[in-house]
Amino acid sequence: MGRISWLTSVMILAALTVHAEEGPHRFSVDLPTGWQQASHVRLVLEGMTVAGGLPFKLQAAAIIEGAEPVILGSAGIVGDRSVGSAPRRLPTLLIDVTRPLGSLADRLGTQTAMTIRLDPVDGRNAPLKELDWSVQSVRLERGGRN
Amino acid sequence: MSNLDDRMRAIMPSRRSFLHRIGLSVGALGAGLFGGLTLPESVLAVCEPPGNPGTAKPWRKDCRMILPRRPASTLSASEITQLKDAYKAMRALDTSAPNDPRGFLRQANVHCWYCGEGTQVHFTWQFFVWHRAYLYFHERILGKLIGDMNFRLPYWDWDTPSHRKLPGAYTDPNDNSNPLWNGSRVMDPTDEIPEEDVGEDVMEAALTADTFTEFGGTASGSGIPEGTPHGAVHVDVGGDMGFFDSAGKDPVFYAHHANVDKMWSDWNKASSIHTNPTATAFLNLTWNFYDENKVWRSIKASQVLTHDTQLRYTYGPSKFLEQLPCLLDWFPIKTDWRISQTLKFAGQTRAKMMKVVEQGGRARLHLNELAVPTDKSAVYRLYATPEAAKADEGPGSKGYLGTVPVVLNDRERRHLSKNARNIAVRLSTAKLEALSGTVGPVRLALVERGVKPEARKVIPVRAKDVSLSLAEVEREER
Repeated sequence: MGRISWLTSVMILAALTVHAEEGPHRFSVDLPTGWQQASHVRLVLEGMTVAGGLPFKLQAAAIIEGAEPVILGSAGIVGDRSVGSAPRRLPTLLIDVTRPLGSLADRLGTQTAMTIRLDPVDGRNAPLKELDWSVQSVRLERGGRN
Repeated sequence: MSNLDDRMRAIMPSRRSFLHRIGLSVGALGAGLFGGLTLPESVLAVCEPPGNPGTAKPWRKDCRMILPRRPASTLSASEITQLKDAYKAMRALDTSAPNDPRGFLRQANVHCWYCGEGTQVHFTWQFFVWHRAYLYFHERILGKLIGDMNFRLPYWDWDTPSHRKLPGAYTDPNDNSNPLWNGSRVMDPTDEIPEEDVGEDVMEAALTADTFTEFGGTASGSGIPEGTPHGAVHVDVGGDMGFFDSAGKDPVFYAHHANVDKMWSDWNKASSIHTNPTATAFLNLTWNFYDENKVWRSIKASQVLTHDTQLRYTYGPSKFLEQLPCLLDWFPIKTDWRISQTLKFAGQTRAKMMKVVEQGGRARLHLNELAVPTDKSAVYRLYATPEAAKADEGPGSKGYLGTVPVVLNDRERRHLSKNARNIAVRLSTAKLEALSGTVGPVRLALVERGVKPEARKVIPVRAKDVSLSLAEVEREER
């Protein structure tokens, strides 16, 4: 394949991936058994890939019907120029959500799962809507020495 | 979830090599492919290795006075002048002696070099310890350049709500006449680090992480605070600070990381169970840095674990340590272990302990003068029953109570320490349930971790005494 046509195909493929999912990423995650009593509850994000080496924060928010999203926490990702614009696979990210989740205990009631929205944002917490990313696994787990 | 991963994996190798061939700029391609998201204007940093100066001389001992690192926002005028003079001298070397490893850009590139493929010190348990060593030599060089080895780096205490702006010294004046200034920052002098990046939720989560695995990571994974607050502050400041290869080019990087280092120090102080790894693989981690005399030095993780005595600096009090659950005095609960060598745990004691823990208090199980095998270095798991020990399903499983590490002093398997082994295990509600869920007296047992089921030997706990303790949490009157 010639260089120009190769580049064209790469750009088309990249354009497809940018718009592969519309809107923010939402995930239904199970609430760990006994989470209300746990000393720590962590949001674990595994297999995250992001296009390019830009720095950003991944902000997690709880989505509860009829209410504003509640920020659970975020993880800051330092940029890495060495990857250029290539996909960048990130290590497992851990976000401690113990306190914000605890404040939702009454509203979550006896639910066994909840909806979490993940948004990449910049240093001023402005959404990075055009940043393309994906994650293989999102879950809540109890932490500590329990 | 999208299937982006697979598609990206498919195109990644050839695309990267293609870019090299045609020489497209990273920023231009980023703009083209990803809707205008571009890297900052600065070109790819020159990420130089620290050189190849031969065999490094081992770092021995620091005999300077033990002095405090202080919050950057509370430095006196003379301290700010000293700090600026130090960085001014370091920056001057960039032009007067570009090959001097103590120059500012050479210093910044140390971070760049150690954060690349193959030498990446982030995302593992190297994170805290490597940055401590890096800042230590950086601090010594700054001190040497101003002729004052009592100089100590300041820390940017962004965890203090009133100190969330960039420290004044780094922005006043906010131009290149200030050696602490960096023109690439996205964060303005009037901006503040957002609460959710460095606030109480974040700090308490970090400082109450129960194990170093959770706090500082493992050989293959990172701990919680590396993402937030650490990474979040990098992103918030932005510009050079936002990237591994250039972060060291912003002088506020060193103040930021001094506070990250303080957080590690505070975590160690927050609880007797907050201990650093004792694995040889961790203790023997070794890196090389130039010292203040341009001598190429090697330093081990084990040489930086206690910053006050080994590296000669301290930190001030932690506001967040003061805000952690305020426990009332520990209340010892005796058992009849000395008589029966078993633990009876039921009735009122159990109910009381459960109630206190559910209300945010703390409970502990103490094993005093515990006998453990000393024929090898090993980790033993403590279980509430011999059956649970035999099953050895590890942390989180029913009956699991904690670990008892046994580290011998050297490869000759000598165990020089004659001190009694006293173990304290924090009891969660799950562990309390495990202790009370047995029929009859509790028969504590140990089992060596990592042994195949067929070779597993359950060791009944032998200890001079076993007791409990309880601390209620102070609650405000309502």
